Amino acid sequence: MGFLNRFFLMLSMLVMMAAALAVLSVCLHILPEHYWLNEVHYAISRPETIAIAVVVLLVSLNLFFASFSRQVPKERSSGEFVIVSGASGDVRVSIAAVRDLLKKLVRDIRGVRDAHVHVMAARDAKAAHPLRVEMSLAIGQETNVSVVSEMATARVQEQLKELLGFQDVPVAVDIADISNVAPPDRKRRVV
Amino acid sequence: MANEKEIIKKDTSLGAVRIADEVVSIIAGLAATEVEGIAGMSGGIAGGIAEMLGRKNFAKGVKVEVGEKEAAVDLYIIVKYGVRIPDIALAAQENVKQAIETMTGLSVVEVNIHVQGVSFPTDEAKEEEIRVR
Repeated sequence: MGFLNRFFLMLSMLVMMAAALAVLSVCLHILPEHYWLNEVHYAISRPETIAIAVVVLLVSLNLFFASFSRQVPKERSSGEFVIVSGASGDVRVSIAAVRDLLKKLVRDIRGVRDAHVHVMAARDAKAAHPLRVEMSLAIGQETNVSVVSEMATARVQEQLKELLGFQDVPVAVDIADISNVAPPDRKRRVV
Repeated sequence: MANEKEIIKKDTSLGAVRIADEVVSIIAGLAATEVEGIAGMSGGIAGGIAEMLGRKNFAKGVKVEVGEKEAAVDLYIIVKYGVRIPDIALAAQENVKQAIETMTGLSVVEVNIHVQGVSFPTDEAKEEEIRVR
């Protein structure tokens, strides 16, 4: 829902809250009957009331139809994306497969304790970057942040170029945590 | 009465030749796994359970649409780590197309490849390599 529709929704809800309070006060006899009857008679005799009613009707109709419309996001983070489309058929890759691969690669970097990887594929085939990667890393206290970030970015871009043939995939790195907990033992370190 | 999952390929004076959809699936599956770089076929949860129970499924990870003269194939594969997917996919498309056309006479209109995962060499495989050195 866009900004304007959200604003209208907020105003509508304020009006509904005011109307609900008014009905409550009438039902609980907080407002005397002659008082609110007088106000209603006055309101319906004014031409401004018609204008306000028309505006409220139009806003309500707009919100009503907006509730059925679905804004399709420009990217998706699940499903498959097409890397080759030829006469013999399409070649599609699962976003989950790419995500798991990159997660494993990044976790193997010295200094990285944990990694969460998000891979977003553009819906538009003509997009400048068909793929985008966002990584959230937990690193060790002893690690140089810029070195690890650059290494992670380079490794991801290299792997995507090798695996999919995509050059210079945008990679965003966020250092979510700096930990002084010792890293888990690796199974085999030497050949 | 013809089974709806079979197509009548040839009706001769000696009888009819019928090819089941599953046959085309098996041919496609075997042709795909021959390609270097493909670790295996992705059969989903059902395929995995069937394999655990000891049932070999050569049509795992293959969906076919078979008509009287043409066929379309969808392959769900797992590739090996380190390979280039477009190259592997092209090889798989060509191998599968050739295999089906040669063995069944059907014309393959498209072979779509769906890469579902990347397989890493296992720790056991690594240790095996070390012993050999």
